[in-house]
This record gives sequence, C-alpha cells and structure tokens, in this order.
Amino acid sequence: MDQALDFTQGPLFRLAFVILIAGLIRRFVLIAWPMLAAWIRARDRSLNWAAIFRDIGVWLFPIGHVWRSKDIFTIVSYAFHIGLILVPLFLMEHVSLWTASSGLTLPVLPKLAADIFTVVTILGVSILLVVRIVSRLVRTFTRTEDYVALLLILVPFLSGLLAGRPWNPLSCNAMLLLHILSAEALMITIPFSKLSHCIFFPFSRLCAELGSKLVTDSAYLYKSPLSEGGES
Amino acid sequence: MNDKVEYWPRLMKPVEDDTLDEFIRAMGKILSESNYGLPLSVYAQTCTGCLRCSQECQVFQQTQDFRDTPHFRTEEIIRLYSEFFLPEKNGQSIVERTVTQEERERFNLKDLIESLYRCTLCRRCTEACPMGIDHRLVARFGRQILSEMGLVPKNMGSSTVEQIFGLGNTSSFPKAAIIDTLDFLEEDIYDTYGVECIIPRDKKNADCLMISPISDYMMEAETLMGISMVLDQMGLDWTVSTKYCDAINYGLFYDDRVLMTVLDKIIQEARSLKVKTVIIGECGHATRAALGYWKSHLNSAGIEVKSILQVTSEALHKGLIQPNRKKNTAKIVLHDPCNIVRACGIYKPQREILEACSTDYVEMHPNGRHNYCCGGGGGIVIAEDLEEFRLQVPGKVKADQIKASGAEIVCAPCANCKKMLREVVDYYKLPVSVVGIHDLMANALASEIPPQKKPNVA
Repeated sequence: MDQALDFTQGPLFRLAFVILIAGLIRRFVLIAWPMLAAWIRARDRSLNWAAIFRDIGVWLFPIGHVWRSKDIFTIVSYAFHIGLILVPLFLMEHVSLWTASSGLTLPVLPKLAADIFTVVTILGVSILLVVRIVSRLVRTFTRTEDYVALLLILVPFLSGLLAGRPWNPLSCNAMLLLHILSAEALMITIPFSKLSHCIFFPFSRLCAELGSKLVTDSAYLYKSPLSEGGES
Repeated sequence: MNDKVEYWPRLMKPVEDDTLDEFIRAMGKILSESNYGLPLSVYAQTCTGCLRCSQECQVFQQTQDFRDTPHFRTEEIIRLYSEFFLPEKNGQSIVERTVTQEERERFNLKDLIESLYRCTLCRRCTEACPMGIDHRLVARFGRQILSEMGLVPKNMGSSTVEQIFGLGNTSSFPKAAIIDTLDFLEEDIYDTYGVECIIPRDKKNADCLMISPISDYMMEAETLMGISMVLDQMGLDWTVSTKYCDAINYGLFYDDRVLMTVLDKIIQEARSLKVKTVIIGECGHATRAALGYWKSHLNSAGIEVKSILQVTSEALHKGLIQPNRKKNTAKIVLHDPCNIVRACGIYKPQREILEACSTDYVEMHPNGRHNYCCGGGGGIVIAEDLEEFRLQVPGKVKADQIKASGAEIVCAPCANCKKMLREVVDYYKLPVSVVGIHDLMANALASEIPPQKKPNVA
C-alpha cells in the first residue's frame, strides 16, 4: 500500500500533471493558429476589445446573471466551480505537495472554508446529476460525456473529504489511494473532453467576432454584382 | 390559442433523401468562402450543455419544444460540421464521396431546417451563454446554407430581389412616388407642426446622406418628418437620395451576399453624392448591418456611418435643438430593438432623446441588453406565413410587458419592431399606439404658433 501511495503521488502524479498541461496547451494551439488565420483573412480587422474583455470579466464572476436566473441548475452550475478550483490548489495538504515538488508556496485555505467549499462542490455535483436525470429538457440534451464528467469530479472530492475522517468506511490509506487515482483520472480527462472549456472560455467571443467577418478572398463576395464604387 | 403552434413546411421544399447531400455541399462552399469554420470548431469543444441558452430563449419559453432551443440548432449544425468537415475526423473531402444512408438517418435535418426560421436572431441566448457561444452566428450560418440551396421565405426573397434588381426598395415604391412623397411631407410638416422644413434631395457635396427604411416614406411618415425637423434645426448640411432611398437590409437575416450588395448600393450613392457621413434612420437591422459591416466593404474608406439616434442625441448635448417636453405628456414605454441595443450597443442615446422630449416615460422589464425581442426579429415579421406563429409565440411576451407597463404609447426606434408591435397590439387588443422616437421629437419641436397664423410662405 505504501509503495502504491508513493508511486501514485510521485511519478504517476507528475505524468498526469504533464498530460493535463500539455493537453491544454495543445488544445489552445490548435485554435490559436485558425484564429490568427481568420484574422488575417478578414477584410475588416478591427475588433471590439472593450466588449470582449467586458464579457470575459462579467462571466468570470456572473453573480448578477446567476442570481437573476432564479434557477437551481444555473446557480449550482456556477457555485460548485468555486470549490472545484480553490480546493485542489489551496488546501493545506495539497499546498505542502506543491511546495515539496516545485518549491512554490501557495496561500493556504483555512480548514473550515476548505471543508465548506468541498461540501458545496459535492452537493452541487450531486444536484446536477439528479437534474440531468430528472428534468426532461436537460435529459434530452445530456450526452454520456456529461454524466462521466460529473462522476469524475464527485469521486475525488468525496474521497478527499472522507480520507482522514472518523466516518471513513475504508482504511485511511485505501481512501487516499482512491482519492489520488480518481484525481489523476480527472486530470488526464480534462484536455480530451468538454472539461477543457476552461481554456476556451476566454476565446469564444473573440472567435464569434472573427467568425462573422467577411473575408478578402471570397469569390462571390468580392465582386458585387453592382460594381465596385466609382461614379454612378 | 395556447396549443403547440404547428410547424409550417409550406414555404420550404419537403426534405427529401438527398437534401442532406445538397446541404453539405452548400455548407462546404460557404465554409471555404468565409470564416465560419473557426467558431464552429471552437464551439464543438466548448459547449458544456448547461442549457442557459434555452432557458432564456423567448420562443422556447412559450412552446417548450426542444426543437426551438438554440442548443438543438447549434448542436446539430456542429455535429454536421464535425462529421463532414473537421480535418481530424475525416481525411476524405466530402465532395469526393456521397453521403451514406446511415449518415442521413443520424441527422435530424427536417427539424433543423424548420427550426432555423423559428428563430428571432435576437441573441438573448448568446447573452446568457457562460461560454460565449454565439448561437445567432450559427443560426445565421444555417440560414446562409439554406439560401445557397435556394430555400428562403417568399416575402423576404421577393422584397430583396425588388430592392436589388427592381425599383430599388423592398416595397416596390417608384421614384416618382418618392419625390411626390417628399414634397407632400414638406407641406405636411408645416401643416401639422407649423415648422418650415426643407428636405434636401440629391444634393451633391452635402456633409451627410440620410437614408431611412422605405416604410418611413409610407406608413411611418411621422418618423421621417421628425428626423427632417431635427436635422434641419441642427443646421446640418444633409440630403436624402431619391435614386436610392431604402436602408432596409434583409441580408442581415439570411445571406451575407445580399447584405453586402445592399450596403454597396448605399455606399455607391454616398460616393456619387460625395458625402462624408451616412446617417441610418430608425431601423434596427439597417443600423446593425451598416455599423457592423461598413469596414468590410472595400469602398467605404473615408465615409463615416452613424445612427440617427446618435446624431440627435449629440444635437441635444450641444444645444442645437430645443424640444419642448410638455408636448408629449402621455405615458410612454420604451421598447429596445435587439439590433440597436444588444448588437450595436446603442443604449443611452434613445433614452436621452426621450428624456428631452417627453415627461413620462418608463422602461420595460427586462430592458437594455436583457430585453425581449419584439417578436418579429430575424425576418419573422416579413414572412406572411409566420403571422400566427409570431403573434402567439414570441409576440406574447411583448404583449404582457406592454400591459404590465400601463403605458398608452409604445416607442420603438425601429421600423421592423414598429410593424410587429402594431400587429401585437391589434391581436391582443391593447389600447396602445406605437410610434418611433422621432415621431415624439416632431411633436416636441413643433412651433408654439399654430400654422394658420404664420405669414404665407408659399
């Protein structure tokens, strides 16, 4: 068991991390080149940066929109991201691992806050799973990938919460092993599924602007049937 | 009345076995001649299936039919794109092979085609999407494909043909009638408002060319009168063109070629009159098409384009016009046209104008970027066959909003919206009249002295 723990915390974790980062970079590069090409091809290369940055800013923290929607699916979809991002990075046990492997010192979440965020994430994911099964509209449009993604998030968070607690049904080491393996499974899935929306999120509005631009080398748009300007 | 409104396959050809082949070929042609492939490939990897878009969609809120959701349309088009065009998946170009029967059965083309013309292109979905997916762009791409296949609602197609190849406007109004109308309007401004106002026409080397939707020459004459009075009182050196006088641009709804061709006509006219600025009258899609695509036209350099709302509100700031607020005391509710507020970001000017020329105006809820479409967006108000659909489905929300506001007048700075809102108030029997912003401004700029007492200036 100890050997397994060392392996999963050491080389296997590093491998998963590399796959995560390299995979996300690959996804980004695969759209960065088409974005540049689309911009070069556009007749009108001006871009409304103010609107683009405003939209990115608003959607990083869409509190107004989420509150106004008065819809449980929407509120939970946003709320569970808080723990999803903060806990893996800033939980005390994780910070010591980051420091040990890379020398980086990250701020540490107070224990109570970390517990609350974890519980909110677990509850959130459970509610999303239930809604995806129960609501007719959501069920019609839910793909297998959506269920799998939710389970992939639920297991590491649940096992992480239970490890080292008195109500842990498995042994401490076994729960820890489950936690690490499931977290690594999540990490390697992110770049190859819709979970990569984290990297695309800042670029969608930019792509929409570029996508609607008319292009310079289009045969049927270049030659207007009514001639190009000049005296009437 | 609240039973599910039936689909309307009458305008479109029935979907046959080989329609998918035609669809894919048209898609391929358009992808090669545009930048649409980029957002499609990004959206294929970005949609998280959160369905915010569907919850905000005005049409879906009424029908609760899954085929009316932006998610359905976008997902179907992206699946088609991924299946046949994404380079990672398909090494063989689609033109080198035919579509297999198995592939035909995998895609719900019939529902997609019908759903594309049940969309108001209002962008509430885009506003609501946390990932920033532009569903309007994808629906517009779908409609471009249908246009390439020759599937366009009858009225839209015939009005466009008339505008480009016929008499030069979407209502088949002959040039002689336009000149007569302008003369008549000058007299009418004097008779109704007591103000002498000349509407300059075809004046070369003027500073500005004002071009409004053709409906301003017919049903919405008060708007044109109001615009003329404002520009005249400002002391602007302006003109209209009798040669080309219709800013309406249906290409924005279904075809980029038509969009550029209509813009081309406007720019050609602006060049031949050697003006420096083009002012677009009160029309949402004309404004959006001009402001958004002006720089894409190869011959527009050196000519600015503005909306009349911006011009009038600037005139108010500079004190060039002095409207009398007390001439409009009825309760007015402001409707925000999607193409002006959400698409062009013009939110404050119309409110400043209303503040200056009326005493009691209220907002709809929601308003601004979160407004509801009038119900006739995306060309739906033009298609005759869609009358029942637009009144019972997207128009219903509007009727509820107008009732809730308690207003006697609905003010909408857009010709399309006015047409739709008039239908809505007739259908739902609301005791409300529909006006444009410059109609109110005309009242506010009217002379204090009744016309009969002024000296004869014939």
